[in-house]
Amino acid sequence: MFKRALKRFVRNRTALISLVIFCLIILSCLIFPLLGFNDYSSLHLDQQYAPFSLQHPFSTDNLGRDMFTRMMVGGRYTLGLSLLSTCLAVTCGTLLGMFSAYLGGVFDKAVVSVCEAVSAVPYILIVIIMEVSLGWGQGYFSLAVAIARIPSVTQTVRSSVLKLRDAEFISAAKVLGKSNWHIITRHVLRNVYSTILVRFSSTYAASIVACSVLGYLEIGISSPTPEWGRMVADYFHLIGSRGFLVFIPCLFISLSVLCVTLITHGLRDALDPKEYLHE
Amino acid sequence: MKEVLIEVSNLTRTFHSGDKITKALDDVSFKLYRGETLGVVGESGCGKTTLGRCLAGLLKPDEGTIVTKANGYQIIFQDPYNSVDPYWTVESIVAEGLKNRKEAVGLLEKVGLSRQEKNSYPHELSGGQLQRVGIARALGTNPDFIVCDEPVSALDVSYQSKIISLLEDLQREQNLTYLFISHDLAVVRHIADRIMIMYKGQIMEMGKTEDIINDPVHPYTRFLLSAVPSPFEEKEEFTVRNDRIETGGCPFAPRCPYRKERCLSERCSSREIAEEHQVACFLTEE
Amino acid sequence: MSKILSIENLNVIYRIPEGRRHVLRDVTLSLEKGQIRAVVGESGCGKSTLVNSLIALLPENAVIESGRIIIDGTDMLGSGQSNMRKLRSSKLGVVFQDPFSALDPLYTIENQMAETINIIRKTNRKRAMEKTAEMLEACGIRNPEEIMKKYPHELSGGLRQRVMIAMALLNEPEILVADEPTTALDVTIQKEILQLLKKLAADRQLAVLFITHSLDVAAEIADSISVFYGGRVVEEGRIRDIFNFPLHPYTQALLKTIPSIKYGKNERKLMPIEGEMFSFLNETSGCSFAPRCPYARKECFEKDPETRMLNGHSCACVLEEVW
Repeated sequence: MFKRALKRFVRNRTALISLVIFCLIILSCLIFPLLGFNDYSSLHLDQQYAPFSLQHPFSTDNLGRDMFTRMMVGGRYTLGLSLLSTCLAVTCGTLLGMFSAYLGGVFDKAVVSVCEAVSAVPYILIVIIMEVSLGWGQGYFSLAVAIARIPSVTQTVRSSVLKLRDAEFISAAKVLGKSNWHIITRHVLRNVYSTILVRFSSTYAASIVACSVLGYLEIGISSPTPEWGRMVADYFHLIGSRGFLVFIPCLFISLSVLCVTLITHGLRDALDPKEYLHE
Repeated sequence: MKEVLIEVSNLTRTFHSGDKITKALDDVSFKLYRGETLGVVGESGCGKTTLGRCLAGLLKPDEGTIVTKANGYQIIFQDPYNSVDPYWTVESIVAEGLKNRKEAVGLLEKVGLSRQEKNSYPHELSGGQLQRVGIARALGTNPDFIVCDEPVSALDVSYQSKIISLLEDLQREQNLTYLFISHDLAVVRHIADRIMIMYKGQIMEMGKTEDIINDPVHPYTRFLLSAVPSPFEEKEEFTVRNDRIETGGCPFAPRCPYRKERCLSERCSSREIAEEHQVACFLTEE
Repeated sequence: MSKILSIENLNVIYRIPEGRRHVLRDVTLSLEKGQIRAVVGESGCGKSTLVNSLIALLPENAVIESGRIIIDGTDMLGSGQSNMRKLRSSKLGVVFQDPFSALDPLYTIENQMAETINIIRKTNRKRAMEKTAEMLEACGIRNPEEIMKKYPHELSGGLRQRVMIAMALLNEPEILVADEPTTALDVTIQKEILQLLKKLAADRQLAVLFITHSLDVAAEIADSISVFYGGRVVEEGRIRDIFNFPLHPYTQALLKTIPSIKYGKNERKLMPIEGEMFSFLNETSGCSFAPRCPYARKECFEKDPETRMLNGHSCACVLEEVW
């Protein structure tokens, strides 16, 4: 079943190319800063706006810092923090959604109301509240972005588990005397994993945007951290004269989001069980 | 002397959806004998599925008791595609209820599937084959009572007879007791020893298959039988009313052509009019 | 009696990634005014493809390769797309299996029905309403004004199906295609709908093509039956002929395999049809039923069976014994 999904994903050119590009971005973010060609934070006021060269592939900024290294390190922040928050959001959302749908009753009602309440609050507000109350740190930052994303994951997982709960094979397992744990781990999870995977990917795309927006607004992340959104804000006053400084981080944000979104679509098509039933 | 396997008394179950309260089972009492097939017949919404789920332990009744001597119970479902996990192989599905996974192959062979099919996934099999998988899974725990919830309704006719024959053979071999739920009177006539006719959560008439089919007493049974398509048969024409009135008594009263005043206000309890033949209708008093 | 619909040697092909699937093979059938013909077959026999090619709703990957569909003297496949749709909608009404999904839940019955009239004949609303009420009444709805104000979900399954029939008849078509209209209904309601269709056929000289999987239901309503298997009409004839003298091995087997209300426990052994159902996915040459047929011979697997006719009863089988 998994092999077949993989085959279909590979057959989908757009998704495959997006996956390759995105992997390249991530790998270079991981590898290049380690090689230590340039330092991302030290200032070289004599080397402002160096010409594009192998030494400085993306030139240097107004303070003479190497843009390429800054981008790669910034990617660690943007992509890393959003990945962390996505993992948090999807794990919590899946557990909440699954148990609330499967167990029902008061727990379900509570989960649904809390989700509705949280999703009514703009995520920027949540981050500000968390920053004010818990103090500032990258862990909290991810947590805050995650909390903003949990309701939508919970709702998706809950609705697909609800559809599944009335499936007759679940009833059959109950009549066989199987425990709820067995049913959830062996049947429910197995049947909703494709939903979860697709949800993970789409949440990741949304988190990258959220992370950049927060960086841009200097909420939770401040200069000189080279987070991509923060970089856009840092160089925004130079947009007239040195537009590439704004353009490069924007390009990376858009490219990452686009790739993740296309991967999401590819995953959805490859994993849709309705499709392989007709094969 | 027939041995009573399950005795159901005063079973009641209601469902709430919004402000609407539906009585899916309303004071249902009957006995099930070991080794017999009891057919439960009625139209959609008559409570037959709820009854099956209560007996299979999937639903808790609001009131009433089920006293059982059965060593185990199982259920076979209507929709073969929905009753197996699409991500499991046939062998794992059958082995789910087994202590020893090796027994699964034997069970598959018993229900007429071949060894090669054990590694197939459900979408590779036909509806008829999947229904066999469902039956094999049910047999795994060695039950002596099986609820068959419309087991052939979703199948094409050329598979129906095979599944019916399989169920009959298994019953003979293992002395199984079936509660056979169906809306199709022809199928029930073929397989059941006794028939129970339900309408809106209540038992209207119950008796030996021959008596119910050839000599129906309750107006609802007669109405139902008159509607069964059977080619070139002279059938009783049975016209009903279509009055929209509330009834506190017999649920069929608003449509019954023989309705009397008391039918709307008073619930008629089941009375035995012949051996093993109970009818819940005031007409039988005359 | 005059022929209103005739389908001649219709061949429909589905293009799928793995190749071509021949879903309808030389399908020939005809319908006269006031006649009810049942098309009987199991799932995957091609009966829904037949309906879809009649109403021009074939999926994109399907092609009508050859054959003719003649409605009231006009060849539907010869004329252009839009012309065809227009002609069909005035000559042909359809009722589907699931009356709930066929009605738009957001509109009242009167709005949906009036719209149907307006599209075809540009009459004013008042006239359209009168016509709607009239048609609902003809379909056995005693309080049409009340029903017209309701939304689909407020009606019971039986009522909804009556509304569907009324809607199909609004433009006074001469042919009604009923695709398993009673399969989702209870037997008592099924009977009412069957009676209604019979009455409409008799009163309005309406030709009905009734698609079903049940021989018993077919016998209850139809004058003649076409039995489908594997995309082919394997047997065709008057209802009594089919039941009393079934010729094709498939029809014979089908009649022996259905439980009947006439026989009780241990009175009759059901004779199962061996083998797996025909599937277009593993197509073979020759007769579609040959792999399951107890009388199959070598030639059955090699060449397509010829359809032979005797006293208005036709059968596509090479075996001499069947005649």
